[in-house]
Amino acid sequence: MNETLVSCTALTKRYGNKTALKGVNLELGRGRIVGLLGPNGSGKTTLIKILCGLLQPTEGAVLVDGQAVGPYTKSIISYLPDRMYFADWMKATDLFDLFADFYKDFDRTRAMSMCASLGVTPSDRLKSMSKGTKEKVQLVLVMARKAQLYLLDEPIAGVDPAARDFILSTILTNYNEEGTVLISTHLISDIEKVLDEAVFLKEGEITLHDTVDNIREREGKSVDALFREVFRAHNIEGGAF
Amino acid sequence: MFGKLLKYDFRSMFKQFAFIWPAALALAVVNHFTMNAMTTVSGDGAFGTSTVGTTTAGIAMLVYVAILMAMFIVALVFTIQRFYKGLLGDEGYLMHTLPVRPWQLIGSKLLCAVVTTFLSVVVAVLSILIIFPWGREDFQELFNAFRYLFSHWSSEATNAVLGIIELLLLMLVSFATGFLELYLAMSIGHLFNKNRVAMSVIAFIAVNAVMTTLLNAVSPGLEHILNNIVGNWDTIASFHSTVWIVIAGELVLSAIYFAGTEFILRKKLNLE
Amino acid sequence: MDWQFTDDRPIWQQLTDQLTLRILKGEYPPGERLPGVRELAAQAGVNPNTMQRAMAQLEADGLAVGSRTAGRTVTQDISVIESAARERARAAVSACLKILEELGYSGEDALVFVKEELHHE
Repeated sequence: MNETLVSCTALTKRYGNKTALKGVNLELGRGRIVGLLGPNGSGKTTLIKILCGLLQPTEGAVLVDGQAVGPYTKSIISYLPDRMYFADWMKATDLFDLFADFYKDFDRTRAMSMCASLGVTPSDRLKSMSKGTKEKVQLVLVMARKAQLYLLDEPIAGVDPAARDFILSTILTNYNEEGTVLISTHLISDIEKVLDEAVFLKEGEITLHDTVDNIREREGKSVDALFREVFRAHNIEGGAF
Repeated sequence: MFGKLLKYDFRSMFKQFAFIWPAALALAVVNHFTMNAMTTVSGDGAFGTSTVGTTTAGIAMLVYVAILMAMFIVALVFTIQRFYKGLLGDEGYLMHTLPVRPWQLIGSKLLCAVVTTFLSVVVAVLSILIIFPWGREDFQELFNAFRYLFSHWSSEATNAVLGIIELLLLMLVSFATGFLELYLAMSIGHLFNKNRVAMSVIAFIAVNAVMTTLLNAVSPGLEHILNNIVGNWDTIASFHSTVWIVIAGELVLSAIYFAGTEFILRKKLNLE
Repeated sequence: MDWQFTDDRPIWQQLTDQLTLRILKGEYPPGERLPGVRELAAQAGVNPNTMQRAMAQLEADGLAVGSRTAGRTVTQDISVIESAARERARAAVSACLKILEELGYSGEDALVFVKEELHHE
């Protein structure tokens, strides 16, 4: 087992003439919760999509558990996209079957008990579920795996504060302790106390990567406050406001 | 893993066709009776002397034809949708993060689509056989004529059974080629940032144009080779070898389309 | 009691403070088993690693004994708890004195204030 779980070297992604990631170098260890923080359009989703194999980098290399992205890395990554991904005709239990078939680390019993505590009826058709319930089903699918790397893309965007607390506590109580959780978000105040490390992504470049404790100790302020400073400056420079 | 993918693709197919296949067969049974009833009333071997019987039979036939057409349209739409929505739409977020390789994803969709279309053809043929008023004398004669033709044809030299198998194989391979061309067109369309559906249609026309031009360019040479191989044999043998050559040609096209699609999904995937 | 955090200091330090207070107030009595790191982390809504660090500090302070795997209990050594309580009290007094000093009052004035306050109650 590699001590380093994720290693990105000089990672660059261009879409046409737009550059989403500029030479990103990032190493993540095991057993920690890391916040991938940046405003919209800073490259968070691009980075996550490259890690889970939905995008190919233009330049640079990615290793997850020492391997290039492929069937092996996909088998140890649990990915929560920023959208709904299932076919409507399915039931939640159909999805559990599918996950149990494809992922050896999927724990069906845990999925069922998570559904019970989230108030989801897994035998209901997804078509008849509300958007919030579908999101819960997706969260159950992702967190009921004993994965080595959880990639959660904006899990708390666009939900009310109660649901937000709920999602965070679900993540906290269910993730595999030897695994690493990477959470992308621009809502830092809600998430700061669950993080070990923070990574600031600004216009496709990593400007800061440190533990939350170190940041608070060094700066004498919360990561949220620091984030607001860093990215307010960015807005003035960029002339967006 | 490939087997598991097939399991899910086939499951969604059966969900889609659970109604339409039995419906087509059931309507065939209805038509069998309405048609027989019609001819029984007329009694003299000519069609449609009873107005009520004719009208009923006409409507039943109309519904039957409509459902057969619908079945093939649904099969085509299903093929396109399973690929476009399943691999290039939101469901792609799930499928492309499963621990499988892109060729397995494409292969599973393709196999499922070919089987779906083939089963639809089988249902269509079966339904025609059901409708056939076997009891009537003139149909009996027709049937006997077919049987005679077949037994005659299937002498050792001609081998009709092999011929039928060859044609079936050709049909399956042509389905695969057609579907893979659609897959490639959709994959090319997905490379664009906007209007992906429109770009897919344009890509389909473009792929078709390129392939036609290419075939026209190589066809004189191909014809020459074909004449050398086929021309020296008798007509029956040349029938068999022609079918095999066409199958080989379709397989080459399939391989090209498959490779193109696989390359795009592996290297250029960019879901919205 | 709810867990509350301010922005100016690392969260693990604030957790240590609040856990210490609970022990000193007897919410977790001497010798009693402390909840597990995971459970406490879930209660406070913080990362288990952060809670682990806070617990390690409690151990270093002598207030908690045991190990992560076997589970921790509050120390039975009353003297440790008492001295921690006194330390906490002194810190509170010195913080109070600092404020009075900023307002221009002397130590003598402070004593008067304390007596008056006690008299009121």
